[in-house]
Amino acid sequence: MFKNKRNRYLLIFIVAIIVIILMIFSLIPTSIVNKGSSPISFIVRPIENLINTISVNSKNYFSAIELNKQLTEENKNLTEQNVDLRLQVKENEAAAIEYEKLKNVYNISNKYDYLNFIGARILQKPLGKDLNLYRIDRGLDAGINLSEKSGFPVIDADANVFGRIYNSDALTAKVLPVTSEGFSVSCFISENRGQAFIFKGDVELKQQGLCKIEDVPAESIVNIGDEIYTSGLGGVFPYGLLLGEVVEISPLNSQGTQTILVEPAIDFKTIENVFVLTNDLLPDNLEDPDDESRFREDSSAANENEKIDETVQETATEILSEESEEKEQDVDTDTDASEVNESYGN
Amino acid sequence: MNSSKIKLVFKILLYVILAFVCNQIVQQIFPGLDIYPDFFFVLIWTFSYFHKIEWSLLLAVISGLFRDILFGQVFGLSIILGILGAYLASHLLQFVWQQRIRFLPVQVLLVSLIIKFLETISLNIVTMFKFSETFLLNQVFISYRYQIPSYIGLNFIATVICYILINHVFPFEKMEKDVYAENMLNLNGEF
Repeated sequence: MFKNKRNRYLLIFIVAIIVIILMIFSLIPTSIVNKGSSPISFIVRPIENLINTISVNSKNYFSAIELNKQLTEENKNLTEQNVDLRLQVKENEAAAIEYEKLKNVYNISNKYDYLNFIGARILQKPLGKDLNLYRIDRGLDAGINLSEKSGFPVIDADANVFGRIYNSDALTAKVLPVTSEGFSVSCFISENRGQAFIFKGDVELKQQGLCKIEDVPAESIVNIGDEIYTSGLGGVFPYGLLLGEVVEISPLNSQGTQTILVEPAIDFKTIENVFVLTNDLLPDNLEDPDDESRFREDSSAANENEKIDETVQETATEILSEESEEKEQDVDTDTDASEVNESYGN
Repeated sequence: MNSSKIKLVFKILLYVILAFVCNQIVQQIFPGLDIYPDFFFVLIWTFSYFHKIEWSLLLAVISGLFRDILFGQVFGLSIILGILGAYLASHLLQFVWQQRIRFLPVQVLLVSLIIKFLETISLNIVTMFKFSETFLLNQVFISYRYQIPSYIGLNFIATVICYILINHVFPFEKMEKDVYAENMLNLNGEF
């Protein structure tokens, strides 16, 4: 391939120099180098989707056979519960409107003013404890556009903190998990809500899947088993998301403070889907023509919601009518019985 | 570049995609593992054991690029480590082991130890710059010691898979004799 060794070494040298320059640029999260991975994402995404779909379908097939009966029963119960919950939601909506009015009056800032919850599937888990980034299947196309002003918390379905977005390209994004040494967030301890601490990952502790809170004063009330929540300070993570549980409290050091070891609430082994919280209604890449499709998706989603509402209403009506029929039948049987009794009495 | 060489370039791309597919399948089958086999690096080391350094370097760049994009914290680290691994495996160790298959696991063991150490130390340096963390060599050693047994074990399994792919399922090209090594041996014999 190369005519002599000199050419070979020259080529290796040039490649190395280019790579080192790109490496330095990639240290900046918002740099174009991090977004330049889109072409490869376009190649690998269909393969990932195919393998994931095969895996999910096969798992679903086998589990569906076993769980079919159970699910049918559960579905019936849940449909009934759903009707109740819909009613509660309507009540809550009314309460929320009142709250918004009051909030405006008192100028209360709300840390939960996140407008979008973007659901995402984990495409790639990290290779090891050092390369500890997770890849998810939503990127710039979903409005996950990392900038100096915006940060994107990532949580699971139970609102446990999973991590934050590290960088993103057109189709995918990388998530820095809570156990990573690069992760830190302001937090409070459930038994000690007045004080805010810094919850962070650690190079050594991540091997055991733990995180730490340093510089906790001796007078702070901390017990093993206490829960750790985000404090909402810092502006990226909203208030009240569960981070983990205290598993160990170190003895006081010479400065009179202690370090707390925390086991994250998130289960990294079983997690498959996550939610990215975004606080931008209109993403930075709005000029992109793809955004029109996003709005179309939103409108189709709204239509779907309307359909779901209609279905729920129909189901509710059916259930109510069934219940009323049953009651009528009961009344009929009661009246029949009373008639029979009367006739017997007569 | 003639058509046969273009064909070989596509074959290298195919290997990288197959490594990626293997990685995905393993992640799907064993979702709860802490460490997964490093198919991209193992592919480079196994390939370099049997083939010319020029092709090995090309594979190292492509495979490293994929690894950086899919898993990397910093762009380019896997490419550089891939080139280094390919160079070690192809130039030095190939000469020492004389392409004898029984030494492939020894080569994977040695290169795993070296490359993993370099990666751990590099990532800690990157963390130091990026997140303003203090760099502690002690922590690097702890991290390295913790991961290395399972890393090597899993890489052995990946080596078997890569070896079968490269040499039996999609053979790259006919094995050529290492002229340099042969000349050296002849010279030694003469002396």
